Amino acid sequence: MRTQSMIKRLAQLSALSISAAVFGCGNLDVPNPNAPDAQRALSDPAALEAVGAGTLRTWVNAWSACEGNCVFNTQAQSYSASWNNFNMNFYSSIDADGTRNSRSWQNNPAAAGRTSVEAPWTAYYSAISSATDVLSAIRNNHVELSNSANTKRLETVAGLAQAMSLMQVALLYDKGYIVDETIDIAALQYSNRKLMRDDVLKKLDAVIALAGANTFQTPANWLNGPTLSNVQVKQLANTLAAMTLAYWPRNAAEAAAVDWNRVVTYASQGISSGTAFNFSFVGDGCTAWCPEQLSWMNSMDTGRLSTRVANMLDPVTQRHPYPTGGNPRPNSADRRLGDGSFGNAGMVSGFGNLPKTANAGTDFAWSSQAIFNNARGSYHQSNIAHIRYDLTGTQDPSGIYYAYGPAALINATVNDLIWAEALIRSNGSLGTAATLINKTRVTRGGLSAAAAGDGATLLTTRLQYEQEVELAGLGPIPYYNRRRVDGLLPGTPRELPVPAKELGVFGQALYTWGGATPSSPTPP
Amino acid sequence: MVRVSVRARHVVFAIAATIAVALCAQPVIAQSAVFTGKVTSSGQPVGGATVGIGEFGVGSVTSVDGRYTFTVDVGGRNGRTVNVMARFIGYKPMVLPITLAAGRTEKDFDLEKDVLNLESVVVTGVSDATSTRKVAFAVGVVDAEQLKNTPATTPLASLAGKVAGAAVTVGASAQPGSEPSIRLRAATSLTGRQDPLVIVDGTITRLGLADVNTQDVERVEVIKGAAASSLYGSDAANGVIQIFTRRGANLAEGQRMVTLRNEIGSSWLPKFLERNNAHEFEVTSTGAFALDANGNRIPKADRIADNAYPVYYDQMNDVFHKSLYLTNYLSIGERRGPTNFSVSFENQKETGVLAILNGYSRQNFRVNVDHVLNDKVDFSSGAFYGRSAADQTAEGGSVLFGMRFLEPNIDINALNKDGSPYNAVIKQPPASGNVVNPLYGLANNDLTNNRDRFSGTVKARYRPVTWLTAEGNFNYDQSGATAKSFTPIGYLNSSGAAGTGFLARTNTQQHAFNTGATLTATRSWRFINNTTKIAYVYEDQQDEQTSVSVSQLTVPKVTEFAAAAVDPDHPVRPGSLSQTTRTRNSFIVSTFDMWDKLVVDGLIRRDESSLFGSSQRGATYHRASVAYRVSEDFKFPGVDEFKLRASYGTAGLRPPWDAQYELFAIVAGSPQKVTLGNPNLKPAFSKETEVGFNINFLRDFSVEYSYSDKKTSDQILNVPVSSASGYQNRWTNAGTLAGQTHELSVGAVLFSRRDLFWRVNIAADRTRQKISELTVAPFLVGPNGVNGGGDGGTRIFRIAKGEPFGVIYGSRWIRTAEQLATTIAAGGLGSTTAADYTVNEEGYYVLKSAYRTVNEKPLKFRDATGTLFNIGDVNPDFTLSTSSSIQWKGLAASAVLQWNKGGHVYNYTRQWPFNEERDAVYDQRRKAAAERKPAPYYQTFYNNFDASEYFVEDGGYMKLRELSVYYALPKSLTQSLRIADFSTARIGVIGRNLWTGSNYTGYDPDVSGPGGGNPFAYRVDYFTYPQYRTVTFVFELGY
Repeated sequence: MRTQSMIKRLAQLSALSISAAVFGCGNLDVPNPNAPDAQRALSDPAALEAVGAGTLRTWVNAWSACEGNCVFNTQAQSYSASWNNFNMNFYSSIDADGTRNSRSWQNNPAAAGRTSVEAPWTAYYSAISSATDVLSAIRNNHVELSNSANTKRLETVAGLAQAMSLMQVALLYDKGYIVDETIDIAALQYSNRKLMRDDVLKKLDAVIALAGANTFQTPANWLNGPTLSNVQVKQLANTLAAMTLAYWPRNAAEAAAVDWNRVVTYASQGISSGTAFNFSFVGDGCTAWCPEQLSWMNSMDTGRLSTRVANMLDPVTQRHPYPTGGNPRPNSADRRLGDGSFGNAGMVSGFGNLPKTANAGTDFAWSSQAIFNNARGSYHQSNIAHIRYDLTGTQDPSGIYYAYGPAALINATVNDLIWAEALIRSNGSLGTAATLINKTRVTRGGLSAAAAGDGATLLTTRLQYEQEVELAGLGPIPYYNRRRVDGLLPGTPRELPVPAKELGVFGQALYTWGGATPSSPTPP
Repeated sequence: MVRVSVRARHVVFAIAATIAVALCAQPVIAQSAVFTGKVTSSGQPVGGATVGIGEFGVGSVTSVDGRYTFTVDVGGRNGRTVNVMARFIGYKPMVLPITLAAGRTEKDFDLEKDVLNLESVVVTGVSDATSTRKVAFAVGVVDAEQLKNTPATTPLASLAGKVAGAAVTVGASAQPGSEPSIRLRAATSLTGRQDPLVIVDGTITRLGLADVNTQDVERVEVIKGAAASSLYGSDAANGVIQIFTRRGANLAEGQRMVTLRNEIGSSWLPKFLERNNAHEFEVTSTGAFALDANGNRIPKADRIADNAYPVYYDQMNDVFHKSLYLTNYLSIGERRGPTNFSVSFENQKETGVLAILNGYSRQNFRVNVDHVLNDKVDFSSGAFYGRSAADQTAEGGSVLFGMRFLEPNIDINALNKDGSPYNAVIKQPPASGNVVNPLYGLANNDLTNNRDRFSGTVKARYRPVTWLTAEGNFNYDQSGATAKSFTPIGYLNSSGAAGTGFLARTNTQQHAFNTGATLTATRSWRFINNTTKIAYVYEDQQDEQTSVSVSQLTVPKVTEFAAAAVDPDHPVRPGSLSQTTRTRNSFIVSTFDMWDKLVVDGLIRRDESSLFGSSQRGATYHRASVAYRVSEDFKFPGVDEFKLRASYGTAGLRPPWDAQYELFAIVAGSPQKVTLGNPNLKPAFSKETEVGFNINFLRDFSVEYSYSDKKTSDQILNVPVSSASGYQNRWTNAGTLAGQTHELSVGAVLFSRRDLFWRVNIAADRTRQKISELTVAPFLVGPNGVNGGGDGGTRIFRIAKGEPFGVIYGSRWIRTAEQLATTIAAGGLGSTTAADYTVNEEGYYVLKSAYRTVNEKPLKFRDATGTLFNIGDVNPDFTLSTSSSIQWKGLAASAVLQWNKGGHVYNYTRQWPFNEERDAVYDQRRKAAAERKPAPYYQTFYNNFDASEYFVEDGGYMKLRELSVYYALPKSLTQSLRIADFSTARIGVIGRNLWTGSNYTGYDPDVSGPGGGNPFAYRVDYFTYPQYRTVTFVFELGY
């Protein structure tokens, strides 16, 4: 009986549980607590500020990514790698006839190589869209942050991010969308690269004006460490405007048509003017901040400096193309390579390094190891590695080797060298140009000083030497520099098509660049 | 919608309250008829059989000696003729008409064995428990008899080869503790999951079955598409699998059954991959590598890999080893009076085939209790607790991936410089950058996955009158999982760089319950029997996940976060996720059984779910079915039963949890657009028509044929949007997937004699599936996870209108003169003169001037459309399985043989190492000197890791999935033990995955894509843990 009673109670409890559960039915309108929607992200001032800050991070990661950039820079024979990560091997390999005629962008939705075309487009438009949302909230919807200074700071930085992202679309793609807070994105049409460029300059001018009219300092978490004052933002916008003009040409003919005087104007107010600074950030192992290209190419066991550039640093020992048997240890007059020693004896078995001596280079090091597979082309091999950003000096995984620590984006030297080039090309002051070149040539390289008397041709040679040696690893800059002087191998594509994914959204025909048609015609 | 739901709540409340009140009710018997008798079969008593009068809801269970007794209140029904039915699992039911009269009535029943399960009762998809003879759609049934000899580690795996139309394959991995994937008939989803809804003892189970053991399973019922599964609504388009565990309900009255089963044996990898044992470098006179001034190898001028390595190591044997498989199982079942119960414990240990790892272990407890309180009220409850621990390797990770890049001269057992085992610094320039020492990784990387699982069920039934049953249920399911990954400080990469350590932990807690109430009415009017059920079901699931990781540790050997560095450059990274899902469903189903030969069934169901877009909260489904037992009207010689049936039904597929939402990812504290929201997102809508017949003939043979025509519209697709929007994708309903399946099941008792019994079942099916509509631009998908995964990964399966689902797109190579001419015409070759090309020894066209030189290369086919072509189709031509069991005296053997005819597999496990010259095809030593090809020739096939027909392989196979042989110990021997009166005492040998016949070059053709995305449509081989063979010995006692 007792058991019966217990069972009865249990049954009653069951019935009550069931009814309680049924009555406990919850609402079907379940919010998503894991991520905000547009309304939450763009209407709350604090969230809006976070969105704006995020545009810088998105741009930084796109500029530093190996996807895209590692291909551009191995195509430019600045860096070299035969790994097919990020499609480097396919796009940087050379056909039997010495061209890259068979290596057009693989702009179809099935190709592994499509990601090189897709990634920059997606990333930069992500930054553009978020920056536009911020500007729309401030300018159209009049959202105010905690104070007007912060609102102006956010407006300026969002404007900067919008412009510098559009700059990359204009420099990399044959056409794109001009997106800003005044445009209805539902009615977007492609603009050619020239219209894109001009719009970028207009936007950068607006940023320059805004930064000049307000005083602020960006928080440290906007670049994961470094901060920017309004003065620095103004300088940076000027440098970006100079870059937009100087890096836009797809070939030497277009370069000749650039308004180089205007470049001088911008560059003279850029990040190497006044109190010079390097635009940089801090990597966190690629959790959120990712100096991916520097990580891959400042690791002696994954990336190398192309023998084309290594040969410039030490023509005697570092032969180009890579010879059978490899290149011996260097003895460069340039202190950035020196004797090629690096690291310590404990690294030798893994990295083939020469343990560091007093004559060690600051930026480059030698490795005995031919790390690439010859079957993919011995020309990929090089004995010189780029170690400038390995601040640990030992390929320590807590440093750039694993994408941690300070990482360069756009150094002041970028501005100096554009400035110098603009002066030379615009028949400006060769003395000033030489001075700008010597800031690295002499100070860092320990080489003989360039002088106005060298003349434009020699100065240009020395300028280009500095471009090759100093700017390695800074986003796609080495690629921009090589295409402007027709320095890319024949057949190498000189710009990207609109990605197949974007074309597919609208049912547009696929197309590509490279081979016999490396780029679109110069827009009128 | 709101009004409906409120009303439904009221109905449920009324039911539940009624149950509670009814518990106090006591039956009052006035004038009684006592029925008694014996149930036998071939003269032997049948214990556990139920004998009763269905329309009165009374009856009893026979004792061990087959006796039964039950009492009926005659009341005003004196003299009425009623049907008394005796039935027991595995026997054909028997009905005797008896005139109701007060006093004692004795009736004996002699039941006939139903060895082909032709008269079993099913409950899945129907209005109430129904004999398979009267079901209007196909229901696959696998009973304990088919499971007991070779129990798989999970119930789903047990279905392989036993149910027509059910395709079972490894899931994301064959790693111990993993769950298989199953698809019923044709696919329903272009990019989503294909796995059916699984219900275990009434619990809607979305938390996986990897932790549930098969020995507890008494029966599995499978319905395969909307034509049958409409009853389960918006999550049932993939079919429904219902699992019933042991409850002691089939025991004889007063019987206690104890079963003890021990299984121990070994597992091993039956096949190793071939590798390249030759190299293309200069050697010295001693056979060592000749080195240049920098110490690097010197490539030969001809680049032909035909030199032997100076030393060889058998790395496959070092990495894959023979391992332990152990199962201990104890169950106790009992039926006594109004109560029956079953209690079980299982201990499982499966080490797996990778060296060093401990593999998977599991302990499960289950208790099920049924109690009949009185004639009107009974209830059931059950509880399951399981815990498991897995010591694993990362799928596609460094171990299984890296070892494919090992050169044969690397001694992976050598010591590190510090004397610790397994030398990590094994990179041999210019060898692969992907190479790692798998043993070092296995020994030093800890990846553990521990899970706890609890599920509980309570069900109460109340019959206020004999024709009406009210039922309420509450089912709870909980899963807790902790995944931990630890890499110590100083972990070396293959170059010798020492890492800073890594520690990550992810805790996942999932709680789900489903509760519901039903009213079932069963009435008879002359020749019509009707069963009508109305029901309300509420589902609620909460998923919570928290994770923490750090990338720099400061203290060696401490595996907790206390060892994490306080370093802004290496911050502690937290993460969390919270997801709530709620669904309200109600349905009515009614079945008319007319003249015992015509069955008509119809249902309508309304689902409301939080997973649907906010503007599309509800969806309605329906079904209409008919079955006609032709043999009741027309007699055919030798035909015992001939049934025609047809069913049409609709069911749905729910969207992924976050599909409806506009999503911003928060990265480093900043929101960033990801997915554009869609408030109009609907569940996918599947319509299925099923027609078929069942013929049972010559008493010992049965044939069941079904044809299914499925169309699933409103496909839930995550389609790209313009990047100008800042978003990447948007979930939308855009497309229709059509599929047709022919299924044939044949059962035959070839011998049924006193000492010899032989049963054979054949299950065959053939499926064709096509994308019949697509309202977005054609695109390529899957497999998930390859080459970075997600949107950035390699995609090879084309989704386009008119395209079969599961076709592979990629490059072709010129192998015919026609292809050569087409390629020349398309401008795809340097020379436009066909005579400049020739066919080489391998059947590929090459440039004649390069033929047999270092420059020889295969040429890519191109036509006017480009270089992308259909290069394969993963769908098999058909599958055919036979399961057979033979018993001869004390010997019993059973086997399951499966034949998958055709169907391609894309072999990435071969393609990627191809780029590093690690494939066996590079070894040219067996060829005549003139025919040897240089390494760059084979490099061309790597094709930038784009899909190429070179790596499309025939994935067809024949597989002996199960084989068991048991020997029943003689009674004389077991009695001499004097422990108990054993009803079962047998020893046996079991083989699982015992033999595979295939042309496939990988470990096993039964593979699926990484990440478990869509293992049937994305059939690729991608460095996943391979299937292995297991042979065990069994000792089983039952008393």
